[in-house]
Amino acid sequence: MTAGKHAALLGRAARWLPVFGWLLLAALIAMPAFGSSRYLIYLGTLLALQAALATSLNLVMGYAGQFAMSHAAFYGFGAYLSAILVSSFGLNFWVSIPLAMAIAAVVATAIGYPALRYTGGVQLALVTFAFGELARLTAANWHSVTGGPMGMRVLYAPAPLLGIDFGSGRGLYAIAVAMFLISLALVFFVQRSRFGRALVAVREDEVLASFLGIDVMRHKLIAYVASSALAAMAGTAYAPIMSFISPDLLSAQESISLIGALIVGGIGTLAGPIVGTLVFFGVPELLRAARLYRLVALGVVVVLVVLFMPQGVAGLARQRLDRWRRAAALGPGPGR
Amino acid sequence: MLRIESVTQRFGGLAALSDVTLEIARGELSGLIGPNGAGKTTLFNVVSGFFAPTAGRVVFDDRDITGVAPHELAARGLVRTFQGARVFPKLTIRESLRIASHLPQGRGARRQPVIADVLHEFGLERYVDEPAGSLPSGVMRELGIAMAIATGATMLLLDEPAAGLSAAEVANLQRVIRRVHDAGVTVWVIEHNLHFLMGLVQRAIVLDAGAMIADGSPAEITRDPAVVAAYLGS
Repeated sequence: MTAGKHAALLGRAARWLPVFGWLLLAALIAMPAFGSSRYLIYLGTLLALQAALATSLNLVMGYAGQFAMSHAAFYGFGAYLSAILVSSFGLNFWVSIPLAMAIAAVVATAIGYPALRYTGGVQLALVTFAFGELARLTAANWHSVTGGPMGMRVLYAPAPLLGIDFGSGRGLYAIAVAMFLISLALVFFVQRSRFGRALVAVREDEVLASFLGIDVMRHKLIAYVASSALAAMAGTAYAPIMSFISPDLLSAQESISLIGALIVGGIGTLAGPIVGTLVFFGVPELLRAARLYRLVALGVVVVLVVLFMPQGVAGLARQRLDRWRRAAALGPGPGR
Repeated sequence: MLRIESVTQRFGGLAALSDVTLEIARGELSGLIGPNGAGKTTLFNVVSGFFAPTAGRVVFDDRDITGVAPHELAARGLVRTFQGARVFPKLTIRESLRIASHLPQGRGARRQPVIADVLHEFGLERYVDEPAGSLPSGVMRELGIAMAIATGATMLLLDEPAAGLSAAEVANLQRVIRRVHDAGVTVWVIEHNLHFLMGLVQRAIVLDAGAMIADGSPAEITRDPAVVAAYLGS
């Protein structure tokens, strides 16, 4: 009965592994907060923002299965909008967050409504790509508002909120982490909800989903709008963190990098965007690889992942865990 | 329960359906037969909201449903299955059935499924964690029907459920269809195979070249010269 024992052991490990995963994530988040290295805090802030973006992109791409190329554009849109609202209109930074999200949601609805009516997704990919380029070119050419191709300096820090100072490096880190956790919590609850299951049905087969009573168009649109509004939210934090924004932020290349991170980490899984962000943006940063080599190396990684583990790192892990769990559930006995 | 009033469907110059009028009563178990290309699936597509007819009206539960979207029809209780087996190949039976109960689980759900535990009733338990794409084709067809039932359907349109199944699988499928019918669902089955239908339905409607040529009990229509001519050639 050694096979049975083995299976039971693996089954127990499979049950506990998600807990280890959450603890590891908590440790990763806590590290910059309690360390004293300014570099670590800065790196943690950027990674938290990237993870927030990848997580929100996962909602529309991983769960609803819609190929949206506009994620970086909404990120940049949020950054510019918030910066302009704060610098030129004197609005409070905290007020600019929901405002930027709401405006992004309206824009996403206007783009998504015509583009998502078709089954197949080529229309959405093209329209969102075009919107991204349009937004980038607008940012690059509307000198009086955006500062043109040279970008825009951001001279404000978030105002204190509830007596806490958010202007320091650690405060900005807290904002980025909070935005990441908000995105993660949203996807976590969506995944377990009736709405989330309907999104998966839409991803797997739109026609069958509609014949089972799911309003396909409505589900796709809500996922796209929510995902875009979350990208804009992360963007509002980007401006004070970098103290500088430029039109490059909105480029399609940034959207494609995010999609790459999702593919490497495991699309349609909760851990995928986090793993993908760490591999895609964290490892090269720690290795201090030059930006150019980063893209080359990451291209190779994406190709290898697509060829050898199309479910991504987290997808593969989940598949293995399910198998062990089932083997354990079947109890001792040969086979499987 | 379902009334089709002079429905005509043209594709370009070709009339796939011409002036079809018929009515299906609540609680019926009926068949729709006819040779290949007779317009059976086209008629199902019109009724199930896949496309709107060129002319005519479809009425379900006393309401005009001509051109109403499939998800809205499902909410009213009219659900179809597809030729062969259309399932979510990568999702397990458990996941598929949870998705199919989208409507009954919703706030303000209008109905609950007539069979509460389809998993048990259809004997799908032993496959519950298998991806639907890996199931034997007979079980896949049953899953398709189980999913339709789980939406809370009051009327099922089954498009060639028995095509390509073995004799044992066909017998099993007939049992499942009878079980669903006994639970109170109105069932309308397209079938190419006369033997499958004859042992199952109370009434069969025969289409040929887009027009209705016979309507009656299985015994009546097999004696009907027009039906014999359509099937065997005159």
